[in-house]
Amino acid sequence: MKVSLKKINAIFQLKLQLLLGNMSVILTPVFAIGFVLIMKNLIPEVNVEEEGVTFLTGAFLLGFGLIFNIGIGGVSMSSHPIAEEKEKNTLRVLMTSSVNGVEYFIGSMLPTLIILMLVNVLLIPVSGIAFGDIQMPTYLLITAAASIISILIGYIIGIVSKNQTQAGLVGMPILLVLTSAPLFRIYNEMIADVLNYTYAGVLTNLSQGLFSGGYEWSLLDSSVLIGWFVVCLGLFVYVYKRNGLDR
Amino acid sequence: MNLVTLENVMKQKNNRTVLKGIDLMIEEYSQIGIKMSREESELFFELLSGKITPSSGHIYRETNSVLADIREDGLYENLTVQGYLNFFKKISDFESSPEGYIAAFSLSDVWQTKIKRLTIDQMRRVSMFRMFLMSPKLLLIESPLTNLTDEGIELYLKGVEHLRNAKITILFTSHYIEELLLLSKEVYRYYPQTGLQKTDLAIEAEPDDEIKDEPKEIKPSIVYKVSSKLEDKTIFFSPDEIDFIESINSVSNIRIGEEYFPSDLTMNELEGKLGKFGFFRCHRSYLINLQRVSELVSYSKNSYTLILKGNPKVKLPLSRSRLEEMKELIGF
Repeated sequence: MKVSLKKINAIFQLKLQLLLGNMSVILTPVFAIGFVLIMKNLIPEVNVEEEGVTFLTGAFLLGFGLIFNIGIGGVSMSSHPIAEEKEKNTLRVLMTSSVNGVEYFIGSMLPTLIILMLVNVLLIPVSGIAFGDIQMPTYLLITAAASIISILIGYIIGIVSKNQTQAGLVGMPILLVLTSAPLFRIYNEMIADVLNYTYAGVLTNLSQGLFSGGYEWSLLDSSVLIGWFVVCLGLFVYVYKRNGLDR
Repeated sequence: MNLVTLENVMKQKNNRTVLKGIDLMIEEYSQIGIKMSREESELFFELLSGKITPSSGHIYRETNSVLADIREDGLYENLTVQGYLNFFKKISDFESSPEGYIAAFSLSDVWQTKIKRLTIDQMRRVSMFRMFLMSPKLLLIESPLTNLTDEGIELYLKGVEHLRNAKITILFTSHYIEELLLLSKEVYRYYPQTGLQKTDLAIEAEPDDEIKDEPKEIKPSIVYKVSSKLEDKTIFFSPDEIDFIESINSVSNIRIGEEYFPSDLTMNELEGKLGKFGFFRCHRSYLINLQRVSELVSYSKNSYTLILKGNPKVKLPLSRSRLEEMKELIGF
């Protein structure tokens, strides 16, 4: 399959324009920042460490913001546009106009990724930690990996659903599990263990680490990220091969 | 050069035969129109563009540059006409800027307008402009004129002319033969049992003389009814009930409202008998009741269309040669 950079660039510009014009989708990353700001004012600043359980407000805020942005934002920003194109029958036109699947997916992934990463970086000052206190390369690497995983999950949802309503419905349980991760891990040890194996869990680990002195790479976290990426990519390729884009 | 040749093509979908017995040669620069249903048309387009293969029969394609446009195809409604077309210019290999062709597609008024604010007439032309930018060898379009206003049809036909001048061969399908008559020169009807059948439009001048030779003596027959035999009964129609009579594969069909009734008489015989009741042969295949005509529309220099009272969807062709005759009859 021949992949043309000119076409990817054209699709990138188109998608960026459409994404910025789609209020319901573009609001999620804005909400991520908004919610963190609101919660920062609601939750008292506490740094407790009792009986082995730690709760750091800053870490909680950052973890929440990241998961909101990457989980909800990433999945909806990638699943809704595909579902919308199917619903409005614009995807068929594109796919018959000499654009292939690879060009389409790369072209539409980039604007989503850029918006997600922008918000990920903005969340650092918003949750109350200085840029200087953060291991930037690590932070960018982990959040980018998580964002790409989210986008892939969004694509899978977009491919299997026929319209936007269906995309929202299919995405709901996945989003629920992802976003409840930072809350539940505080209350229940077993759930916390399970959640360590999700990529949302890695994000909470990251924010915990950053607020308590510095994040250290662990074999578990990196293999969880790689595992999720491989599984999602495989599933995405399988679903794409089976369903195609234009039906 | 033949762009695509179909030989006895049959295609089943979900174990049901949708297309059968299709023999067709699509020559370069031919202007073919085919009357078929939407489902048949969609499948036919997929076959022609090589997306699916036929269940039986052969399709020989000389070109892979085939683009299909079906009725449902949408546009990016949040973009402006300019933004939309520039995007497709970027992904196509089109050399010059789309701005140079705005006039051909009559879009200068709405060039900066968002697509969602356009009328259906304008959207159809934006679609056509997009297909022009992709510049395929063979273009397949499904019912482009349906639901368009008269001005919309006129401007669309102008765009089609431009596409044809740009050496793009276009094949149209539609459910209405009237639409195809405006868009193409060779018209076929698809019958699920027998395949494609060419409609006898092309030979036009020849039967004129026969009619003139007939002795025009006025019989004092005040009462006349047209009969149609249906199985075991014969139905009689008063001439004033009839909208028009259409010749389909050499059988005269009386059209009343949405229904067709076959008649045993030939078009020439019917014309002779109904002439004095205000019927007029507006086209080789059509005999129209002039009392029912409400409008005469001219979409281009050489084609005229008659629109019936109370049924604006029915558009009958009027040959240029017969326009004068009609002018004399009605006196306008």
